[in-house]
Amino acid sequence: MDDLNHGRISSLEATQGRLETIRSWQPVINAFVSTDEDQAIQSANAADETRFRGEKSPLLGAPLAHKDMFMRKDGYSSGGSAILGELQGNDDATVISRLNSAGAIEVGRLNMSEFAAGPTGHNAHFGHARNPWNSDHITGGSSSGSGAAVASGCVYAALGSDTGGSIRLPAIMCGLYGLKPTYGRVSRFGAMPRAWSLDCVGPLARSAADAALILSVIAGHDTKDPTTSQRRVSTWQHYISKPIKGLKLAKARGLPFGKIDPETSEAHELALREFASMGAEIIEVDLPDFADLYSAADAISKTEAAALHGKWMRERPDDFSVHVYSRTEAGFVVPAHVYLASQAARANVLRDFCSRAFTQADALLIPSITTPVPTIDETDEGNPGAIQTMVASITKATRPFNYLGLPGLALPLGLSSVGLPLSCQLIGRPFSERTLLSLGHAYGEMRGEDGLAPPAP
Amino acid sequence: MVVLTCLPVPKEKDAVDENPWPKEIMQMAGLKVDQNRAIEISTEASRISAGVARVAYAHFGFYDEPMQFLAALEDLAEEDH
Repeated sequence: MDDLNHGRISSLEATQGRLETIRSWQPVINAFVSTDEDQAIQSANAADETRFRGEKSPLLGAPLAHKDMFMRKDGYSSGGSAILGELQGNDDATVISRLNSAGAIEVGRLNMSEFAAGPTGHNAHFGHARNPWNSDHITGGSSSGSGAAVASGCVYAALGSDTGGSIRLPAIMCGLYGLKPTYGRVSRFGAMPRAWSLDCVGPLARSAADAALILSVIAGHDTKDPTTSQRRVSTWQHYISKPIKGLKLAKARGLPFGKIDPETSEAHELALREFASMGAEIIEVDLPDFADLYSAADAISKTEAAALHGKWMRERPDDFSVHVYSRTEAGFVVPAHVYLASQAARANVLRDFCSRAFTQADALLIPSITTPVPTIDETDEGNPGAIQTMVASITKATRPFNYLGLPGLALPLGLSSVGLPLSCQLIGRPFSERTLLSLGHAYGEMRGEDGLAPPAP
Repeated sequence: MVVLTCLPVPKEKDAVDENPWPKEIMQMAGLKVDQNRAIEISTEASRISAGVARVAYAHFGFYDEPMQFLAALEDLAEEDH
């Protein structure tokens, strides 16, 4: 977005370029569920006129698109489902109205996993999103279109949502920065819930600076979402300005997520050495059992999803894919006391985790997925009993941090030997988005690979 | 039609095979499931419950979630300096 902000290109040029890119990529990656070229061009012209008058706003004329899950004044979004589009909205989601106020343009709406429930990007209703680095492979989900659209250059950045990894996973698998903010940092008003105690909204972008720019616009208290923090919001420049020298970066002792693919592991170790070469101090910490944290997140995620979807699942089960239906069923039989125990213990578990992880360290640098990016066929599981196992294998390193409410930044680490993205994640204490984005920004500047794009189709 | 209010957890494979329930479609919280799927769901719920029991040490006390959790996030926040 740097060229646009510095006036090196007009919004019209930027938008026309993105629309052309969408026309060439969409048949390959299926990132969009809809586009509105006329509206986008009209908005771009208006943005250029505004700029000509000397008026400024942080995202003036920036062509973006977002996961199709936000309420609008003129209706609801599809939520990647056959059902949600039937609902009537009467207001814009807070994140959408804040982006609009900052001058952003929407060129379309992005594909996603049905009801934001799936880490692969499969969608039985709108077609699977496909990875622009290799269209046989998944994008990651549930913000699948967001990952594919940003990585392919169809848009400068996109919003996603993250209940168990749904911002970070598509960022990880598409080679992007994806920020899951601290729970309460960004309003969820008007965002389709999957599990309201865990859901977070945040950006996917091709640089940490772009992610910081989006965060600086959408973050902050919202009277329409009482869980939002009153803490002040920084400028995007502030979010990436923290010096790296002297920061303590921790790796986990042992293998808290089990065995890791060798190439992923090597990339992670290399990143640690590179951070050390930039002046960060690398230490080791003992972390708790992530499998149990995963269960605690699952107890909340499944029961809240069952409460939200129960009526539809009883009355129109055929409108759900087997993936989403089967993943929600257990939420109907997890006992109420188990759900409440998970909720009641959450603050203490968070305090314990922070004590272990962040007494000495400023951030964790840990793996994000433990396997190479899978293919669509490998994850196209149709057996309900096996779906949960497949999902757990993909989300075991991401979901625990939704239970803890901690911020996480997917950090791209270049490409594997077969040309697919490698990545890890930075995790920080609550409201440490500045530390994470500064680490990401410094790392991207050092490697010089930000904006690395797959070859045009 | 069998209305299940509580699904037993099979402890071993033989126990599943000896289950006296009919194979036809049953109801579980208003959802239609067959016996095999009911057992899978019950097993999954038990796995979740066991994991929660290991991690969630909610002491006897006053809880008004999410307020305690939100307060903990603020208490533990990194100062933005």
